[in-house]
Amino acid sequence: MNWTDFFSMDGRGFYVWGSFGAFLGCIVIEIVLVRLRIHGAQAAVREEVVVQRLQERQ
Amino acid sequence: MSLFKYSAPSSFYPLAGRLVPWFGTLAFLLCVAGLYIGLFVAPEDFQQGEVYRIIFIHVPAAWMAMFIYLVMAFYAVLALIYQTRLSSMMMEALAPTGAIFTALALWTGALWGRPTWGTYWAWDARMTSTLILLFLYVGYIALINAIEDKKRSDKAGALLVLVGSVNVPIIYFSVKWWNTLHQGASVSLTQGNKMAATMLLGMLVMALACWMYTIAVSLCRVRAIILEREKNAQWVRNIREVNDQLKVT
Repeated sequence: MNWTDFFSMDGRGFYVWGSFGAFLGCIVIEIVLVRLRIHGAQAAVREEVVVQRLQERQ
Repeated sequence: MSLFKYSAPSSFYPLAGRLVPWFGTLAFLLCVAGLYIGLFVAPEDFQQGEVYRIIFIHVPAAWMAMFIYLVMAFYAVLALIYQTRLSSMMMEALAPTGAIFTALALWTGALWGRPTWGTYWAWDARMTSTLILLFLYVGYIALINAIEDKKRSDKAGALLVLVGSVNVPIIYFSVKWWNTLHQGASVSLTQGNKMAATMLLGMLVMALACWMYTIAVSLCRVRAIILEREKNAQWVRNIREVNDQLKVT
């Protein structure tokens, strides 16, 4: 298989790779954002627990 | 053991955590297989040449855009009738993924339309109704974030999703009801398949990958939503992820 022909896609590489690139880009960004959100939510709960424990000690 | 116990966020949270890696792995494997079939195995189209390969992204994205909205409408019914908190949380978790797939369907459609129809965009029924679907997703996300009281925002969101679900059959049947620039269905439940077998296989594998991805990512997001909404509940303070980290620090 010729890789130059493969990437050129009959001279329509911009349209094909523009589509596949957007698809993979969106998925990667969404996964990163979801991971950040769940880690943020867990951190917020931990903070609440620490505050609660400090208040109980006082 | 009743399945209904998983309608409680406290029972669903650990179950979702156990399911995410399975669906995530399935999505990855199916995506690799689908891309391999679509880019290396499926033959060139006799009319469109190589550019038709956008179909392996465009069609699964468009199917998911409509399907996710219908799943949200199902949860909206549950939320309105049974007042189940988890149904509203699932709607909130699914909406961003649905919006992304709708945007991808429009973007890939535009990139496919330019070399085949000579234009990125036309105000035809299929494209316009899909754009309205994107506005419905964005509108739902904006609405639930604009209302502070969660009970009210869940109810308003569920109503918007239910009213908007009328748009899904309009998108699906638009190519039959009106004379559109967009082509008719290549795969139909009633009229069978008009494509080469490997093309259809690649498309179906990619659709399945998108489905598994949607389940994995929405389960992961709903876990975050559960924690955000229930952070004052005692069960949340006892979960493993919180306590393990506290012991370390």
